[in-house]
Order: sequence, then C-alpha cells, then structure tokens
Amino acid sequence: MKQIYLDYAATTYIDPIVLQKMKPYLTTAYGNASSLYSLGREAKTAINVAKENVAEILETLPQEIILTGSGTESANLAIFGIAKAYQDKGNHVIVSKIEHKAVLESAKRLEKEGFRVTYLDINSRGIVNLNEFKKALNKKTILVSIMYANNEIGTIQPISEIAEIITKFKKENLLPAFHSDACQAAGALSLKVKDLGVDLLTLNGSKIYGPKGSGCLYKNQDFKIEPLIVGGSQEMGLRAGTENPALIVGFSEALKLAEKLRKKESQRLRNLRNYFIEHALKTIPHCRLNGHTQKRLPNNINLSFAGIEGESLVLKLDQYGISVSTGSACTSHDLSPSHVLLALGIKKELAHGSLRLTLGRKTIKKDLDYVLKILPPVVEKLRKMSTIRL
Amino acid sequence: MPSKKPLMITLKNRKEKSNIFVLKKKIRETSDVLTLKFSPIKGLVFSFKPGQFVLVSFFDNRLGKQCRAYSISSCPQDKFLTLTVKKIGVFSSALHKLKIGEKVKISPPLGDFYPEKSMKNLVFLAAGIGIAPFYSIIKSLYLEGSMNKLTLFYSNKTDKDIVFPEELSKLAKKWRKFKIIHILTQQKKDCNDENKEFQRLNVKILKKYLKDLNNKHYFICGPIEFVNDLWQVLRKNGVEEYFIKTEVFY
Amino acid sequence: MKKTKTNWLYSQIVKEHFLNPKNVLWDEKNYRADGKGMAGNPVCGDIMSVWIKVDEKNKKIKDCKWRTYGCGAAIASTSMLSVMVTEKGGMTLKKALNLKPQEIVKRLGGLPALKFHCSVLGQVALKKAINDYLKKQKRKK
Repeated sequence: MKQIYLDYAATTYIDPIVLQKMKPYLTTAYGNASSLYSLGREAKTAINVAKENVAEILETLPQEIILTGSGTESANLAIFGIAKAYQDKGNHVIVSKIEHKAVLESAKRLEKEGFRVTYLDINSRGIVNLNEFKKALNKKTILVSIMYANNEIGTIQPISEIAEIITKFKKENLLPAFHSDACQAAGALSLKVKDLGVDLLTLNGSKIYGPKGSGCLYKNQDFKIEPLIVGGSQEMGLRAGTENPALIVGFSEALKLAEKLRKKESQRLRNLRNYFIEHALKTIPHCRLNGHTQKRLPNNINLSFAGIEGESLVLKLDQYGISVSTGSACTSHDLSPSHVLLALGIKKELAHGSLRLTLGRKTIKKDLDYVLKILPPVVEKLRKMSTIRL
Repeated sequence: MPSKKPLMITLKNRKEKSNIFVLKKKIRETSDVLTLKFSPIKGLVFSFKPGQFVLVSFFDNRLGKQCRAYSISSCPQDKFLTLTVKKIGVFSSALHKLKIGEKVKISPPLGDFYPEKSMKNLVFLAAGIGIAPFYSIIKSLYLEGSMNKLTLFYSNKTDKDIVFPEELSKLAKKWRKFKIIHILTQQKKDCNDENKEFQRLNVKILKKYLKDLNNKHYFICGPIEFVNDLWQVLRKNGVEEYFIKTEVFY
Repeated sequence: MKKTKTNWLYSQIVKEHFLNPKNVLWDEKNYRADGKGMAGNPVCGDIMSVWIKVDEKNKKIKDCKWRTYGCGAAIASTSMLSVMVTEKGGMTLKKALNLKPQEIVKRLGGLPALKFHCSVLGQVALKKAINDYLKKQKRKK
C-alpha cells in the first residue's frame, strides 16, 4: 500500500543532494576540526564554508552563527544564554503562549530561578496580541522570544512589527534582546535577520530535509550569551564539543536548497493546502480549521472534528498508509491537549479532536485526493461509535 | 463464602451537584504530602463509606473544568472531610497551594473500595499515598469495635515517606487484631525489627506473615505498577478474583 | 504479561479490538437496555457509555453494547470489556461488579501505564449500568 507521509512538520527525509554532500564526512574526511594537520583542516574548512552559506542566507556574518545539535538546543542557548548574561540588568522575559515546548519549558525554569515571565495571549486566529505585548514591555525586560511560525497551526507572527515595537521602546539601550524560533519558517519564509529585526534566531536541520541532530543559533555580535555546554573552545567558546562536519554540512546544504526552492515550493504547497482545506470543509460536517487562513505556513493544515478523538483518527488513517498527527491529550505525556489549541480558545473537546496535516516536497495532488476520499467515511464511522451526539 | 443476598451498592444519585467546601486546616505529613481538612459551607459532611473517594474541582478557571479523584482519609464519624494529597502534578500542586478559607467543589462520594461486614480476615496492601483510603477504613473499623482481623502491608521508599506513622502505630498497639508490616524498598536494613522488611513486597513476604493466602480478602491501593504487580502475584498464587479489590491512583 | 513485538502502537489484541470493535451500539433507538451507565468527561478526553441486558432468572449479563469517545486504547478497552462480560454465557452481576481494570488490561495483552485509566473508565461505566439495572429492579418490586 502506498505510504502517504503528511507530517513534514514533525520531521523530513534527508534530501538526496544533501546526503551526497554529507557522505565524505561520514567516511574518509573524518578529521577533528581542531587538529593542525591536513585532515583536521579539511574538516575545519567544511565547517567554515557551511557557516558562510548559512550567514549568506540570513544576510549576516559567519561569526554570528553558532552551530548546535538541534532547534531545542538553540532555543535553550538563546534563552538561558541571554538571561544569565544580563540578569544584573533585569529579570523579566516575554514569550508567547504558543511557543514550542523548548521555549516554554526554558521560560518556566527561569521562573523557578527567580525571573518573571509574561506569557502573551494569542487571538482566536492564532496571532499574538500586539497591544498586550506593548503593555508587557518594561525597564526590566531583557528578552523577548516569539516564534516566527507555529509548528501546530502554522500561523505566522508579525516579527518585524514586534521588532519595531521593541526598537521604539528601548531607544539607545541594548536590551531587551529579541529571539525568534524559526524552525518551521525555514524553507517557507525569508530568514533575513536584518529585515526581521531579530537579535537571535533558531533553526533546525531536521525540518528542512537535512539531518536530525543539526541546528544553529544566529546571534547578533552586540549581545553576549552564557554558553550551556562548556569544555573546548569550539564555536567561539559558546558551544563546546567536537564538531560533526557531516551534520553541519548537511544542515547548511539543506538550508541552501530550501532557500533555492522557497518561492516555487511555497506557491505549490499553498495551492495544495488551500485545495485540501476547501474540500475537507465541504465534505465533512462539524469540521473547522484552526488558526488564521492567510497568515499561515503554506504547508500547514490543522482541522478539528467534533465528536471524535484525535489519536483514534490518526491510528485509523495509519491503516490506510496515511501518516499525520494530532493535538489530542491522549498522545501527550501528561495527558493534556495541545497548549497551542487551548491558547486559541477552542473547547477542549475540539482540541482533542484535532488533526494536523503538513505537506512537503513529495506531496502531490493525487495524495491529497486519496486522503480526501478516505477521511470522511473514517470520521463518520468514529462518530457513529462515539458517545457525543452532534 | 459469597453472600447469598443480592449485592446492592448504593451510590449517590449522579445528578446531585457537587457541594461547596471550605479549607479549614492544613497539616504537613511528609515533605510532599499534605492533609487538607474541609468543611461544607452548609450543614454537615455528607455520609460516606470509608474507602470511598470524591471528585475535587476548583471554582475559578484554574485548570479549566478538570476534576481529580481523591480518597477520603477521614472517617464518617469525623467532623471534617479530610483528603491526604501527595504533590505529584499540576492539580495536586494547586491543592497544596490552597489557603485556609478558600473554597473547592467536592462531589458526593463514589466507589466501592470498602470491606463488607462478612469479610472476616482482611489484608490491606498499600503503597505511598495509597494508604489514604485504608486510613479511613482502619480507623472506622476500630471505632465500630469491629471483629475483623486486619493485616496492613505498607510499602514506601524509606521511613521518611511513611504517612501517618504515629497514628498507625498507636492503633496497632491499642488494637490487637490490627498488625502493620512496613515495607521499605530503598532503605538499607537498619534493624532486626520483626514487622519490617527491606525489599519490594513479594509473595514470600506475604506468606511469611499471612502463612496461608487463602480465606482472606485483599484490598490493594497505590500506583499502577504496584497494584498490577500484586494483583498478578495474588492471582498466580491461587487467590480468586472474588477475594481481591483494587484501587489505582494515577 | 508477554510483550509481543509489534509495529503498531499497542499490542496486537488492542489493534484487533480497535480496528474491529465488538458490540458497538450503532443503533440506539431500537435497543431496549435493562441498564445504562456512562463514565468520563470530554474535558479529560474519554467518555464511555455502556448498555446491558440482564437475564432475569440467573442474573447474568446476556448482552452488552457500548459507545466510546476516546483514543485507541479507550475503544479497545470498552470493546474487550463487552466481550468479557458476555462470553461463556455471560458474567453474573456480582462478578461483573468486581471486574477489575487489571483483568481487562491483561486480556488486552497489556496497555502502557499512561493508558491505564481507559480500562478504569470502562469498568466504571459498566458498574453504573449494573447499578442502574438494580435500581430499576428495586422500583419494580
């Protein structure tokens, strides 16, 4: 049976072009980049070139790119790094309620350590409330962290407007620093940091057809951060540990490719996305789209089906070869439904009955037509079995 | 022997609304366990059977409309409705933060985790905060002048984790039919106390103190793994389903 | 409990009960139940309804139907429960009242600890159905 993968937001396959570029560093070019002889220098060169490539896409300097092992690590480094470095200047941090857990859990830990955190609300369409943000900013704010695009509902935040508000507020001061988690935005939206107005940016290789275990943090050189991992002097002393050139090259090549395909792919995916949403809403009753219809990642579809529970829907679709995910409580470790869907203000039952489909490079219209054929009867059967009468 | 009377378990009418209770007292039992004593805002505490539980929820939108089940640790004869809560997650943390005078909603009592009068020889297997319903049952049986024989195997990591250590040992001293065996799973053997064991509760320990596993009624209460393990152990050793009752805290 | 290797999220038995659930009450209107019970709430994510028919003479459950709003484990648990109370001529009410979630989990070939509450809910709904029947019987007399 054909496997239809529609969970690209969770992770992606490694693009064959990227894999090719990685291979030498997994086989013959195994040197340690800190070594003095040619094998080591070869590794070092590969890493430097990778950083230059990334810097070019972000329109910044290579020395402002810190290579890490994941998006989560980058976000942790940004948040704890800034908080610890500037805690004598202030103790207030602002994040949104729909940040990735990597950001939220870091913020919660800061609270335990005595920092004050404001968790900004979003409106019913998944966009951060700018007025609330303005009110939250104060003299003690040292860090703002708002994600570029959300992984669950795909909504895109007004990053440059937020940056403008911060600039107006801080005037000549350095703080607060502005960090944005751009793991989901890469490959779909521009990452030019000056245009965005961010001081720190988190990226993840596994979401852009690169290898898992790779990522980076862009950090404007005006800001200092305290490293998380100490030891050797790699990454300018900000992230110790022998570098993995294979993963680093994989990451930069994946980002290069994603940027090259960005305009065309975004258009293609947007059309597919809109096609699917339109037909799903037409053929399945008591179904709603979660999050803004326009200000949304081109590949993200998040629907709620009243009366049924997400995990059972995902398992049934899996039987038909379709891979998707859900924001239901049953699939989370603490049995609470997706915090993003709850922040949207929808009823808990609808959060439980949510389905996320994210399209990618291999997605074609035929795949979506197949899903559109399978989904309505599956939903109907689960509804017939359900205790909730609609 | 199974009773020949038709089994009728009365549960309060489901349609009854939750009552409003006020927190009157807070007592620290161990580093992560608190006893909370509640009084209804109107009238007296409803009647209940020892071993039953209630559903608790908050008034404001703290934690949404969520409710959690907690076993009642007081006796029906007590003035307050007492819950003994271990701080594990979001909900129990919120309960721990309740201030004296604050209100919560408490449902009518639920569950059938209590011994019938016909059950002469009772064995209680408790782990950690699973002691809560047993505490209510044991005190009630004592106050009623019950003729049942009671053996409690109470499992904890160390003796610092034992909840109600003095109250339980006082009862055991006063009431000859009640025996406690403390099981300490993470403590090194530090004495030759009979009635103390320093390894996980297993069938050998049960047989050591009970001699014969038959003709006894077993009640098991605690976390999932504890209850499931001991249920399996009893079943594997010939105890029939009819003689076992379980209550899992999760 | 033997853990069988499977490419599926749960055990093979759970998979079978999830994909081909037994005793679902598809048509509520034409079913005359002797007792009905419901457990759970939508906020917590699982709700089960159980309907039973009781043989008056020998007080055994002769039929058990259900509906569930919930995850794969919830659906499989209620399905398995309905099989357990009706197989081999049906369970006596007394035995059914003492049916433990542990027994359901064992028949299912095991459930992750996180899903244990699904089998507890099923048993609560069954108990309510039985008590509903007993109440109705008391009223008749």
